[in-house]
Amino acid sequence: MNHSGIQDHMADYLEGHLPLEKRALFDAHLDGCSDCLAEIRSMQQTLTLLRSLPEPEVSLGFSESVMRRVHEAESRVSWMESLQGAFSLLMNPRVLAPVSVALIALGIIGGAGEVEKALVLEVPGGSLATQTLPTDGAVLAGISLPAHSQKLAAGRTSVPGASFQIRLQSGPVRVPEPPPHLINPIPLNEFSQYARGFRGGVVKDDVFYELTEGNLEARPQGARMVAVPSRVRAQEKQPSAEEWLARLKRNPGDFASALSSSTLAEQELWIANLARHARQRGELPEIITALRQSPNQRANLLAEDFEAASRGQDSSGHR
Amino acid sequence: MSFEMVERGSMAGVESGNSSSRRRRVVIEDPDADLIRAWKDGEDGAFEQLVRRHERRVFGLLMRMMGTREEAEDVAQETFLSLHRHGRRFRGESKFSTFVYRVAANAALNRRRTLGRSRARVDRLAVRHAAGDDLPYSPRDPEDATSGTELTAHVRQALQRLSPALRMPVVLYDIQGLAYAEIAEVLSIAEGTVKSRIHRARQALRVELSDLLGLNDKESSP
Repeated sequence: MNHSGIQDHMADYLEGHLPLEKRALFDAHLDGCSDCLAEIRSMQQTLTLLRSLPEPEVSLGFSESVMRRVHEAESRVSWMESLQGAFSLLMNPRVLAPVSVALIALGIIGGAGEVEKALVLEVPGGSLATQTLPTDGAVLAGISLPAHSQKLAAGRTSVPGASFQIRLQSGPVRVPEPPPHLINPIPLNEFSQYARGFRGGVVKDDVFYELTEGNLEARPQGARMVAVPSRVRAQEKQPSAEEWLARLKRNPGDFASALSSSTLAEQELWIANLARHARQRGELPEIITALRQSPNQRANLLAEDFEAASRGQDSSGHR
Repeated sequence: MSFEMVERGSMAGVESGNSSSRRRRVVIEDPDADLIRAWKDGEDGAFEQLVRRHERRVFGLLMRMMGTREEAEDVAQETFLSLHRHGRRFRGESKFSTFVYRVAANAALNRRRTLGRSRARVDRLAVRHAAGDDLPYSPRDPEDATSGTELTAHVRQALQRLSPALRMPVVLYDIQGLAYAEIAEVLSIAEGTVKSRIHRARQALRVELSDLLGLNDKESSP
């Protein structure tokens, strides 16, 4: 073995990882080479020094301090979760119908009024929705956000798993007047079930009107602006909740498999809606039993989801 | 939750000197599996127990990487906060301790990249060390008990003079005792790169410490 071989294999030699044959060659070279022998010895001493450095002690109370910061951080991020939750719920007709959003406008510059701050929701397609942020805590789609959401630093924040970005725009912010671009009035109890992503529109008399650049001059008086799911398949005739429940009871496995191809948000929406319908009709125990007894594993899991959704509705139903 | 690990041999000539060169592959249960499950299930105190279990090694790594107790503790806190935020997504594809090291290593490297002021401070400290001052460790740090010894102080200073890219793998291997494969996973680099960086770091340390060791050092490689 030559000098270069010694360099190549030094680490393995030091660790005792060198195969016996190579180790013999290595040792033979060291026997006749004082330079390499000196290097190996100094390396061994270096490693001994390095490995004998005393382990630094962690400060007393370090883990308590970490847990304090964890709890602080939890309360800070909860508003973001609220926001995500709000948008999931926005897809729910139960929330959307009484929606009391002050102003959410979409991607169109116009203007009536100014607010101090606004949450700007940027959708990948380039659309833009603005939500005014009152100083005493924001209201988004009827969901109250905690007042400490005000503490969010200006600047862009991405929301993990969400398909939009949020930044807090310090004011004054021009709040756009709802533009008169309307198409496709869709009954509220239908559109939200078949949609993904978000777009803007207005609501009047429980009918959602999607806003696009293609159709003008039709905004009904008194309509409220809302941000809504983007892919609205309004023209499709969809079965009613009762029909879906009947299908579910008939073949829970098929229903669960079909549902699993939806996004998580859609699945939550489906489960929440159907659990509510089933509960109102007194069919929830029957539905859960059917799902639980199905040989389809997805259906079994769905049974738990229905139970959880039902518990959630119990606890929120008396607000 | 199980994973495969490669056992390390001991260092020839430094420890036993005649250890087996054969590596053994064993599949073992992650010792943190129960706590992780409890944490994911929302059990109170499970995460705090994980913090207690891993704080020493995280702090040990960060102390060597950051150079001061103050910064090491700060980054260690960031590490655990980040773990708490994202760790529930840990799926047991590696040991949890490897995952923890990865988060800590990223936090350390990010901190060094983004905080120029800290770097400047570390540089100022290096000047102070050169002038004979010791690192401003907390008085309760056991290293202080030995910091009077020239050897320990020199080794710490020599480590600080390495670039983070070389220091990280050598600290993980020679001080923290991780295997090459685990370091490769922690740093997201190839195992061969880990080995060569460790070798380069050790060579640099050897040269830095040669005067101290009183050796007739040969700096140029044959």
